[in-house]
Amino acid sequence: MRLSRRDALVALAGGAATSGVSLAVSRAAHETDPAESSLSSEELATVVAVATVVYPSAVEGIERFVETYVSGLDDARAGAMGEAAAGVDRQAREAFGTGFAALSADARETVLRDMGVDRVASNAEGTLPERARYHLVNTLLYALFTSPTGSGLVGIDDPVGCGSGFATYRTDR
Amino acid sequence: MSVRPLVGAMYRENGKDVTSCGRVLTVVGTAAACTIAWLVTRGVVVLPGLLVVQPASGLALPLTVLFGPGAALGAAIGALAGDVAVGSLAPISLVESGSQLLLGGLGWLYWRELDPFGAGRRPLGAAGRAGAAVAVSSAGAAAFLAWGSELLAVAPFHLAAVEAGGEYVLATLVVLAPYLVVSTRADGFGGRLRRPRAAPSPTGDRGPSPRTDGRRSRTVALLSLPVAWVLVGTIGSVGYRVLETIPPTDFVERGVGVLLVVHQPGLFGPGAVAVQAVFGSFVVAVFGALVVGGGRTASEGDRITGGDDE
Repeated sequence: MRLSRRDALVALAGGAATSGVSLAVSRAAHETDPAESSLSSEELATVVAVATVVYPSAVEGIERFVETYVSGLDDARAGAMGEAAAGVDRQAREAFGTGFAALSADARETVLRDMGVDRVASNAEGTLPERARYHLVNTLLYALFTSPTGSGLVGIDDPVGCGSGFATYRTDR
Repeated sequence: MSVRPLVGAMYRENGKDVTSCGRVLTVVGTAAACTIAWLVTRGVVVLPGLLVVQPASGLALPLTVLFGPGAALGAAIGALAGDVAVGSLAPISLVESGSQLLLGGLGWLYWRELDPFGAGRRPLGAAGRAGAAVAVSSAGAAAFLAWGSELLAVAPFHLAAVEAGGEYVLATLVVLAPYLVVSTRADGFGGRLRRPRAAPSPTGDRGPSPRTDGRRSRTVALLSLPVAWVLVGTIGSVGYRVLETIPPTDFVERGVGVLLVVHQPGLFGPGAVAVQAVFGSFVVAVFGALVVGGGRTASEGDRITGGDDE
């Protein structure tokens, strides 16, 4: 291998130039500034489909519950949720050639696990699996278990912050 | 530093002078084959909940070994066309396409360097060399994809590298192994996957072997760089993410406060993406220098020896 000093200098310059470009690309990609402030119908369908995977099977009326909860989110949260949902949908198309909402329950779970959503830490500004965990999985679970019906599944009839707690407290006394 | 000598050497190495028409047909044919395979065989779940493999991902290496490096470009175009067809085109599609280009290109390069079915090889040695070519080219392509995924905030490096690496190795073996068995029965040991002999020089002089210590060290460097990239990138990605989850006070309380020097989210970005960006850029640049510089040296050798090193 007869690499000259010129080869080394060109490699160094190439590395520096590529570093500059890749740093700029990564900075732009990690800036969370959703263009849309509300969810499109496809994104909402994906969010509902994610809920069918992460919610216990005993839960019914998932679609209406999710739609109601999402409609109450502020623009920034809804936009970020929509962006994460679009990313999950793309991964489903990449793996199975069809949108996430059109997949079977098993295939939906496979897509989420294949993305590593179950193995990453929740991060609102991280990579797609990290954002999916924050904006989709954790947000949907938060919505479920802070509602009286959802928290009842785990034996908490009156979750913290829910108005029904006051009445129960009064009744018990 | 020009890549023309390397490209020239690639086509000479392919065993014959390939015409422009032949090169175009190779690229277009591979692109069409990959696109069709991409659309027909999508999403084979190998490990439920862990690994989904697209068999079409395994076409790049066998096709470049059979038809020359132009097939790698075809595989890259095919991957892009597949994404367009299913409506999943995004910036990351370019990175995925680039990783297919690398899988084919590196596979061709390593196959040429390791020569699995060269004269006198035993079946076990041949399988080991072929396996090494598949594993290292898959590692290089997976590292590139993981690097791009981290830059574009699509997936952490460690997740993308492990998943893509596993997918590329499995898919390539699924395509390569049956073809190898059939081809060996038809054309003898190694079949059409034997490294083609280079075209003789106009003077007919095939010359002595240039397999020198320099060439050996270049081969070692070419083989170790992708593996090192995957290992360092994965360890860095996992390590920094673990570091991010530990409260800074814990470091001080346990007497390892010095580690907080590397805990700089503002400087390194989430998951140390900035460090991955710079490290990956230099690996790509060094690899480019090795390939192009080595290709130029080989080309000079070709001019002197007649282009054959067997």
